[in-house]
Formats: sequence, structure tokens, C-alpha cells
Amino acid sequence: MKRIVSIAAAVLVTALTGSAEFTKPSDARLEQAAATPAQIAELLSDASSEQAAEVVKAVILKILANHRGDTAAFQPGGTVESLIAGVIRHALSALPPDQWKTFASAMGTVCGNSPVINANRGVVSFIQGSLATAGGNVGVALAQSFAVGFTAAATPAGSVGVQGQNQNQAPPPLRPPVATPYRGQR
Amino acid sequence: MKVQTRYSLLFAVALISGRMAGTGEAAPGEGLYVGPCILRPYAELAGTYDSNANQAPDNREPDTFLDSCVGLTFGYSAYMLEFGGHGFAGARNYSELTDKDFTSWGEVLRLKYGARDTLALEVDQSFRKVEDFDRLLSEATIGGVSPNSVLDAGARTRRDVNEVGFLAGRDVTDKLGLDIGYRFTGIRYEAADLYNLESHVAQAELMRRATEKTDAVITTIYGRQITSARSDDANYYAVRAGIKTRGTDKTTLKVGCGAMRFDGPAGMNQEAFFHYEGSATHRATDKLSFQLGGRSGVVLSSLYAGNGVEFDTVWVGAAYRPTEDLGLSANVTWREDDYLNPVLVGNVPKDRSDNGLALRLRADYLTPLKCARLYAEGTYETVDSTVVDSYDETRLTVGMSVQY
Repeated sequence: MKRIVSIAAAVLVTALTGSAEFTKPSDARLEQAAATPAQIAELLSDASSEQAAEVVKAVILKILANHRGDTAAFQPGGTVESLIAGVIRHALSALPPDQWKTFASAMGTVCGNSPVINANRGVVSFIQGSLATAGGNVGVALAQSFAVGFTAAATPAGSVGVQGQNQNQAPPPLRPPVATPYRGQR
Repeated sequence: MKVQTRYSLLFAVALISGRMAGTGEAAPGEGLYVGPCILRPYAELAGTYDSNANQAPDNREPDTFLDSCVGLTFGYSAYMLEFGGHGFAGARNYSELTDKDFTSWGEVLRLKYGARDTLALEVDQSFRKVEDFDRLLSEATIGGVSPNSVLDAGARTRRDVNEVGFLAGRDVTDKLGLDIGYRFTGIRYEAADLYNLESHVAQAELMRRATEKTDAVITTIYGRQITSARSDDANYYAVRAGIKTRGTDKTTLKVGCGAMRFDGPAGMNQEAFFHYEGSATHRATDKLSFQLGGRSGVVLSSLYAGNGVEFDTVWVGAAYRPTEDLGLSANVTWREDDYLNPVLVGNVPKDRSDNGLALRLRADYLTPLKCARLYAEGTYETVDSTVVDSYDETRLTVGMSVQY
């Protein structure tokens, strides 16, 4: 056990001291990109797919916060959809095309994990639609990858009713029954 | 103050505080915002017909019961950060078998920070006091570390479940990734004749890019299991090799196989077994997806002191969403338990092997109100055993949940 802890500690130290060229955008830059989507391209310089997805997620969160309470803005074709479409379009243009699929997949993962984005089914649809539109012929595959990102690996469970925070997940399989005389058979 | 009352108050406070905060309230069904946090209180009511409420082989007693529940999910999202939680309190009331009534409650907290390019961290904590099914079981999982330590977490008897875990992951180079995780699970049974179990599992997983779409994966696991029946512990080791897709196609897959070894307390057989774990999701269309998974492991028994169980479980399921508001799903789960040592039946030692099968069909409908969801569910389960009598049970449920 001590050996495992030592190895784990060593790996963590190595990981923590690692460096990456990508620079985290400031809150002000994220705010600017939320208002003017074209500015997101500058924020994605040297970003990996996962880092780009995190930046796009953060900008989308700003957009949602800026328009919260404005019901009209959240309607299809409204301001929120228009801004999200702009953010996705400019993000894709800033990334090399061979990175689009992994970016879409990373978007699926980070947005699938976000309770704020997940709370609004319309926003999820806006993001998926924007990826499909901006990706052209590759758009369908992008949307597919994005949707797959929402589907967590199946874990047997026995929950009934509200299925957690993610509205896009299918209910997990039932936990298998146990044949021990646990309750009524005792 | 009763737990149920306490949580009802929590539900009310969440609603009121969200309204008082008044900052950008979203439409019903999309949460309440307090600053950068989202609160989503919910309430649920479901009625169930149970064909065999005691899960008895003979003298089956059908009954109906009402499940009521209030809960609150909350979350905070920011750049590189996700923090969320879920708490619930519920009660079950039977029509006839009122001595089986029970209450349950629990919570899950989860924090994720960072990205794999630098360092991704995930920390989970959960406590649940439950009976029958555990509604937060699927949420209380640590990414990458399987719950193959205390499978009896799903046993349907009164129990306290404690779980804590963390995961650290990093892509060390463009082609090499490393995940290190730890998970503690503790099960404390209310019944005096069931042995409490604790498990510590440490896991390291190395991933190397094999093709553009696939990683080769090597997973090593060390587990330490403790039972209240004995003063000495059991050690569990497993190693497996496999592949993992990168999640860019219709099919996502992670599967591996290898060997596992279980060194039980003194007097228990020390054995090595074939080991496997995998799950796959195939998204055929936007509306139709399939799931398949399975895993094996060895755990201490909560029924017999100085005995262990080698288990295999496999599940397959499909989900279909014909419209935005309607979801249909079906899944089947199978499990086999083989006890490592013979068990005493009377005074006669017998090999014990149990086979269980569970089927679930479910429909979820999101009403035009958006905050209200109706569902209908049918489940069937049956268990055959070489030692205890077999039983089967059918449940039919209709319910409604309202989530702000």
C-alpha cells in the first residue's frame, strides 16, 4: 500500500510540474468573447481540443448568465442561439479541421458534466445544432460525437425516478438482484 | 424533527431563496439561479404494484406501495471547474405490509477541476441511508475506478453506504495518458447477522495511443477488504489490458481483460481468476442508442464469515427517443455469484452459486409544462440458487416528478 501511495505521489508531482503552451484566458477576455464571438479565435491559440472545449464552455456560461431571465433571448432563433452559433463557428475556424472531431467529443464531455448547461435542454440543442451547421458535411458526425459525449458509460444501478442531473442520459440498467436472504426471507 | 420534514423544509427554502435572489430566474424546469449557482429542487411521487413484496419463494404476498421523495440538486460551472451535489429524502409506505415501511435519505458531492493536458482532478463523496434500491448509486461513481469492491452496496436491505474517492489524470505526452484513482466504500447493515464491509481500492491506468481513434489501456488494481466478521483483511489484485476508443465515433468502447487474485483471511482459499471489465455505447441515430457492459471481481461475503464471492455481471440495454419529450428504454442485467468456499446448510457443506436476472422497461414523458415528468416502469427479477430458495418478483410503477 505504501508503495502505491509513493508512486501515486510521484506521478502527481510530475503532473503538477508539467507545463503547457496554452494560456488560460482571463475572465474579461471570456466576457468579451461572450459579447463578440469572433474574439474567441484569439483565445484558442495553441489550445488542445480539451482546452478549446473548456474555453468554449466558459464563454457559453457567460452568454447564459448575461441573458438569464430574458425568456425571448432563449427562444430558438433568439440572441442566445445566435451567440452560441457564432462562438462555435469561430472556434472551429480557429482549430485545424483534423481537430474538429476530438473538439466535438470534448465539448460533449465538458458540457455533459456541466449542471448549468445541462439544465436547459434548449441550450444543449443550440450547441449541437451549431456544431452541425458550422461543420458543414462533417457536421452530422460532429453532432454525433457531441451526443455520444453525453452518454456516460453504463453503470448498473437501481435508481427510480429522477435520473440525476443529466437530462440527456438514458436510464442506467438495473442493479442485478442478490440472492441472499437479506430482507423478507429472513 | 423528522428527516422527511427537514428535507421538505430544504425544498421550500431552496424555492424561496431562488425566488428571493431573483437574479435571472429561468423558466420552470430549467433551475433557479443564485449568483453563479444553479439549484434544482424536485419532488416525486410514485405508486407501485409488487407481485412479491417479501421476495419470498413461497407464500407470495403481493402489495402496493407509495414512494414519495423530495430532493435538491445544485451545481456550479466555471472555466475548468464543475462542482455539484444531490441530496434527497424519501419514504415508502405499503398498503398492507406496513411493517415494511421505511424512510431513506442521502447525498452526493462531486468536484471536477482541470483538464487532462495539465492535470484533471475529480473528488467525490457520498453518504446514503437506504433500503431496497439505491437511487444515487449510479451518480456515486468515481470516473475510472469501478465499484468492484463492495458489490453488496446494491443489496436490498437496510444499510448505510459511505463512499469517498478521487481521480487524477493527465496526458503526459501526446500519446501517453495516466489516471490514478482511489475509492473507499463502507457498507454498514442494520441487521445484526450481516457483516459490515469496507473496501479500499487503488487503481492506476496507463493509456497509449494505438491508432488515431483508439488507445491501448493497461489497468492495475489493488484492493484491501475488511469485514466485521474477522480481524484479518483480504487483499485483491487485478491487472488487465485492453482498448479504449477516443469518443469521436458512433461507438464508444472501453474493454479489457486479464487476471485477478484474491488473498482472503486465513482459512479462505487463495485463488486467481480470469478478470474482465468493459462497457460500450453505440449511438445508431440521434434517437436510438445501445449499451453493453460487464465486469468481474471478487468480494468478501456479508453473509458468511471467512468466505468470498466471485461475481460476474453483464448488462445490455437500448434507449429510444422518438420525440424530444418521450424516452423509451429497455435493459437486462445478469449476475452470477460463486462462493469461494462451501457454505454450511444445516451441518452439510455445499457449493453455493447464485444466478440473478433483472429486466426493466421504462417510458419517460416530459410534459408540456417542462418541469413535470411522467414515467411508467415495469421490472422483473428472478434469482436461482443452489442453496437458498429461488424467487421472482414483478413491479409495475407509475410516477411523476416535478423539478424546478
